[in-house]
Amino acid sequence: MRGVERHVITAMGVSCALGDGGDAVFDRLLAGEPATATPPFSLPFATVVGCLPGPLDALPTALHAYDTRLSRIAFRALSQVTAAVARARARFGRERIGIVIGTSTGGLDATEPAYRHYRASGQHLPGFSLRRAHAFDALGVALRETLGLSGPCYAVSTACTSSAKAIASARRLLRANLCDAVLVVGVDALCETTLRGFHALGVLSTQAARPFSSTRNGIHIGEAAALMLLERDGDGPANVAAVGESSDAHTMSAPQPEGRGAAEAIRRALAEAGLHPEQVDYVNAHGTGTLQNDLAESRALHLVLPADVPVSSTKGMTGHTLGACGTLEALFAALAVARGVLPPSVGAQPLDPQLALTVVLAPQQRPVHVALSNALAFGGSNTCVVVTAP
Amino acid sequence: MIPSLTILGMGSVGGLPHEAALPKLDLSLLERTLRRGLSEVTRLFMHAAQAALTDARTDAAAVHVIFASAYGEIATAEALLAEAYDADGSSPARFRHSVHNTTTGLLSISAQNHLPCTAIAAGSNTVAMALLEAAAQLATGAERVLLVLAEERVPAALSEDDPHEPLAVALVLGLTSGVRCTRARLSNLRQGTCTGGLPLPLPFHPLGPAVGLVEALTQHRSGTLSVGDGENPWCVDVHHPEPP
Repeated sequence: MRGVERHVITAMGVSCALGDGGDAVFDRLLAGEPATATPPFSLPFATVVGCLPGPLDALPTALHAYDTRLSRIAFRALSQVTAAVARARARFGRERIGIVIGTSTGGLDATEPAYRHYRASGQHLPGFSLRRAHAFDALGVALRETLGLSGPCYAVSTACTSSAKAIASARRLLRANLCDAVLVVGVDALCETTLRGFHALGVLSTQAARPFSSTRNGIHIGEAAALMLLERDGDGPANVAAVGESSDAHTMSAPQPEGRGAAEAIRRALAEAGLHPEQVDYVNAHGTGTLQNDLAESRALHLVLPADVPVSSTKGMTGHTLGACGTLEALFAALAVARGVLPPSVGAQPLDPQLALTVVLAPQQRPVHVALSNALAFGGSNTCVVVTAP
Repeated sequence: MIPSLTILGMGSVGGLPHEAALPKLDLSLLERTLRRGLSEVTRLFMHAAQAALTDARTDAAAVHVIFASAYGEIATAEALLAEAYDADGSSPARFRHSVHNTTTGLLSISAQNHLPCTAIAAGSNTVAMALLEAAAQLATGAERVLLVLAEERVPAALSEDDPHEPLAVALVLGLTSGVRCTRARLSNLRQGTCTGGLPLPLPFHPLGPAVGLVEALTQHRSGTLSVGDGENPWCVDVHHPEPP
């Protein structure tokens, strides 16, 4: 039987609608003002999005073929971790550092105009490469080139659990001694296809999402890059102690209504971390803002955890960042641990009484030793990341 | 050191020249109600997975599942783009089935498999990274892994460089220790080029190495197989058990 294997988050990079940098974004979470905007492209319906502020810099000329909104977002957050990656490269060697990307959209934002060009002209858009722009793993090639790394490099794409599962893959590469450090890159960019798709499913809101509220209004979509460098030792704000994974085996898009699949992911996560349910100090819920998710996830939490565990969803603030949310919200959990403060679930009032959750309604100072971050996805994919104090 | 992998079962379909028709695909792994409107890559996945599970005499509910594909549900992505372009709309059913983990989601629903499933992509290194992910899963507690590598045709509207032959290769994998009955073993997955190794029938296909592996397995050939290319090539040694 293996002992508990914790991995240190030795560096983090965050860029989302709330700004850049883990601490600055966390301060915005505590301030509680959602960052919503109109979509950066026209759509035949109304909605709001969590869009990265300011212009996004183009990639260096040598990486032009990889230049998409997705890669620009990832590169914006990259500067926050490059020094730590360089240190790890000097210590372990370039071939011992892996990159695992978690994304649901890949470079779809670049494929959309390329497709329209083809349909309008019958010609492929000059400069567009499906392999270097659209493909889920294309960003990895650009990152490897930029960071001077040559270790394992791949993308995990399992819809909204993509980057939580990227953390799981990174941990396995470390536990199996296939890498000495792994850079996890959770990233998704706003694109028309996903907004149209969620609109077709009838779950898109016209205002900031309000998870856990009886007057909830559906989800709003966001974009983000969340980077996490994981190592076996070193200094960092928190550790990743486990990632629990399960499959609902229920339907493609609706969660198992009793929350059994999500509960199993939480149980597996606690077992892997060697923790009891009573030790959990905070849960950053998947909390998308749909009734189906709120009901299933609250039932899952009740199946495993005490009823008084504080829970919040940060999606009302950032938007649902889809493939990026698993890493983004695991980093929020890590910052809650490091700073001893729970971020509020903005928009949750009036609370939906049928959920019977202890929802964090205002920033709450308290010691946080163990925090969980849930992510649930299409295909019945469930994950729970366990973050612990160093 | 990357652990050796034992191949307990194998299934494959396609990988033929572009014009050749695929055989009728076996969808018996899926409940009838789940068989409507499936993409080519999902049907290829189910066919190869069923064959590999049967070959390994393994229950579809008892395996961790990895789907590996460079482009996954690329035709469904194009269909969504076309709906937006032609009709300013989007079909909810198509959107639900557009995610890269559509195959593993459907398999888990039909087989009532509650174990972890994942879906990965790594371009021309997809076979190498899929074997690495499988090895890492087995080394950290998974007992059996069903690895399915599958690729459908890339729509002409999206690329002129990637008209991939549709194909799928499925492997049921375990760790070498404690397994008696084996088809073959894969060892020493490593970075590096491989010259004079086992032949690669589809050199420009992202899953070409998987077809090379199938040929090596069916022809009982041992040797080194190149399983990824580009800037960081990978290779793996294929061993067959000694004839009885």
